[in-house]
Amino acid sequence: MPASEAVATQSKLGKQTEGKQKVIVVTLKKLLKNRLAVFGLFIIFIQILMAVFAPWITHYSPVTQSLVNSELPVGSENHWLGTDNYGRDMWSRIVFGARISLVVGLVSVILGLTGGIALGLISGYFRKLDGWIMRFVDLLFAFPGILLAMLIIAMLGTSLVNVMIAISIWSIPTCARIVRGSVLSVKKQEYIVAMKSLGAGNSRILIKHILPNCMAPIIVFATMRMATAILSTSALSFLGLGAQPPTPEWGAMIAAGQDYMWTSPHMTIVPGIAIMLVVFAFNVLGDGLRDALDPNMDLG
Amino acid sequence: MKRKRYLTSLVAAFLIISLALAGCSSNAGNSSSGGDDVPQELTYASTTKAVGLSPIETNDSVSSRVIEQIYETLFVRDPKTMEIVPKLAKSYETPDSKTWVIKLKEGIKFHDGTDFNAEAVKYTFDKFRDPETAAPRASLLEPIESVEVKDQYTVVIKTKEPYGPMLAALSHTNASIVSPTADKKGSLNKEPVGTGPFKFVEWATGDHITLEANQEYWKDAPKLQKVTFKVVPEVNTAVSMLQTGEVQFIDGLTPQQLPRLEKLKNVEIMKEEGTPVSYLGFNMKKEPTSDLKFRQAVAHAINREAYVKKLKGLGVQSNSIIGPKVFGYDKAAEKLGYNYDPEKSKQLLKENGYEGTTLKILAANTGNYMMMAEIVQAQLKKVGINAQIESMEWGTFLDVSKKGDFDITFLGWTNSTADGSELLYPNLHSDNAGSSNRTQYSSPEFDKLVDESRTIVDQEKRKQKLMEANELAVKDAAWVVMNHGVVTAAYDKSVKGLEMDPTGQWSLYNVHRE
Repeated sequence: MPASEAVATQSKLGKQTEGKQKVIVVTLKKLLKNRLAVFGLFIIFIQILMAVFAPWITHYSPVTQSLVNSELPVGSENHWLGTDNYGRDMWSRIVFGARISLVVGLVSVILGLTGGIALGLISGYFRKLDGWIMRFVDLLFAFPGILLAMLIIAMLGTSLVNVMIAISIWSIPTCARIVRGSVLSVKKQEYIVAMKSLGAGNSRILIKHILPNCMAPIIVFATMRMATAILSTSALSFLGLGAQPPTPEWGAMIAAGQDYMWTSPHMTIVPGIAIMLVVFAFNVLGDGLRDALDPNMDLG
Repeated sequence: MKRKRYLTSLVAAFLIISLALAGCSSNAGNSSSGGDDVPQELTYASTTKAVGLSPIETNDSVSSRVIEQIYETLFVRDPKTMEIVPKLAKSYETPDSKTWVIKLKEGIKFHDGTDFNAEAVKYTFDKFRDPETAAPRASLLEPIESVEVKDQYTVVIKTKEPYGPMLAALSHTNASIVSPTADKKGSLNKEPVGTGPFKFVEWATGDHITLEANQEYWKDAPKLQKVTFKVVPEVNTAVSMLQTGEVQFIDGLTPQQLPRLEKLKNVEIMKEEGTPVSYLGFNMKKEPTSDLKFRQAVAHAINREAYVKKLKGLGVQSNSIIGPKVFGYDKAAEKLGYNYDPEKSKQLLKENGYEGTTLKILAANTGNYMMMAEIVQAQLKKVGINAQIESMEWGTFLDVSKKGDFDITFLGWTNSTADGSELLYPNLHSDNAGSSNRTQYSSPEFDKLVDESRTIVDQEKRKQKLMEANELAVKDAAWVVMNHGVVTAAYDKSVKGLEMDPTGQWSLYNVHRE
């Protein structure tokens, strides 16, 4: 390769990274103008702080029982969010529960994305495999989401790890379809055709050129999916299929509080609000991101 | 302008809603006060539905509640004295230890007009014992060799071995006498016919069963004209229905519901010390729970006093496996158990090399079982035993626990004959290991005592044997008794004359509304 050409490529690469940074800055600017999205970000930020610093911001272990102090209402001395039916501090349980739902959400979304992206890329790019993979995806789609998760848990047994696996499998078909759609449109672009004629390998084209151009819908999907994953974990735990006692999982806490609805309503309301806020936050953030990432949307 | 109109409509809406709410609450108040002519009707709500209405073919408590109103047994246990007295029978005698001669009351008719006589008794018991019937409680009458008709109102029952709990077995709901004509004609499970104070009217599966008064009852006809057994799957809903007067009677209250029920002005609550028992069972076929030292350590680790307090009066603390309301109870057994002593527990674990043991607790997610599991898990952790809870719904739990896939589990036994033999034999005798003896406890010495309690006919001697067997099992830490049950009911204040057996059974015969 002649020197001048190499220099040209280098400067082009520089421009590319510069361009990427610019895209991120513009997106962030757009995002920060969306008040709801900022609110969502704020809530998520708080949840992350709670999850990371859980042991330092609570005085009690979330699983230590104190039967004499059970069913204290919100605003009690030493327990500002009250205690549950076994005298466990509600604040500690909510904080450690934040950790669980964040971890479960992240892990299951990442697992689901990995599977979904791989399937979507292959299916969109290689015409021969397209039919097979999409029929398999259709098969997964045939089950209503939560039923599919319950089926998988019924096969694997009840535990939080299995809930993560079930939710990630449930995320695969949607993600695969979204990615495939983007791949189909991107691969017809001139620069991809150019790369092909230059002799670039399939994997290089897929990972370095097609995938980055499919990122926008994937980011939006992943954010929204966090909300679904957290909600589903709680739903499954509520049904007794997820976290096993004494794990302070929010959905399991609501299920346990059900019997005490009339005497200690805070046992259901507090974790209920926690789930609601977090799910709402991820949803509005996802909405905001979609608007911000859409090049057709104007700043004003 | 526009804004003003908006405000007005808001105020109006608010007014309407508050009026509607006020209407509701005053309704609820009225229903309880009652008038002069309250209809003599009663609706009872249960969370599960009845399986069938034939005493021979069922063995669940919801079915039994209905069956007890339609059918009658030869003997009953008097709820006050706990003595067994004749009901459809007039008298009995035992010429030798294997023969029971039972004289029957005369002039009683089944709801379909068939005469109640020795033939009907023979027919019922023969059908009950027939292997083809596969009656779930066949074991009750298993020791019987033959049932013979001596004359129209005398039956002679011969047993293979002397059978001590015979009268208790004959007073069991499942040993109720059925009409032979009706049984030959169709299925008693769907169209029950007995001699009881109430007649079957209709059954809308999964919703309700209706009964009406039997005007030709052999004593005075019951005062209630119509009784409905309703299925309300959610306890909170059932309580709300009791509050609004849609339902007048529920039973089997949970400690969680109690504070709410106590606040309802139109509701009366009944609590009676009863025969049910809830216990922690060890897997006797597995290390380390098969070791007595380990079981003692677990028993010492559990603060049952704190647990029983959580039941808010719906449980009695006791070390004895045979409860205070069951035949064979002995106060001396209370001193034998292993009381809460975490230090001793730690010491026992250390001496025997069980520190840091990991266990699997199997628990059904119904009743108080999850509460027991969670409290025990936390208390075991304090002495250094790590326990994992595996929870599942009742049906699955029964399968898994039968397979013995657990270290510790929680079980209960509602003793519907209130006889100690009926508790120790099914739950702890090695004959039943792997079936109703889910912990697979097996001790030849204990088996011998229980066998004797079943084959001796002299009730005083039987009691002695049961006391000895109980003592042995308590010392052996076969179970950790979590609590003995309290049978409960909540009913509308207009309901009068309701009485409850220590077994949780009740009859609506003497009930009326005012």
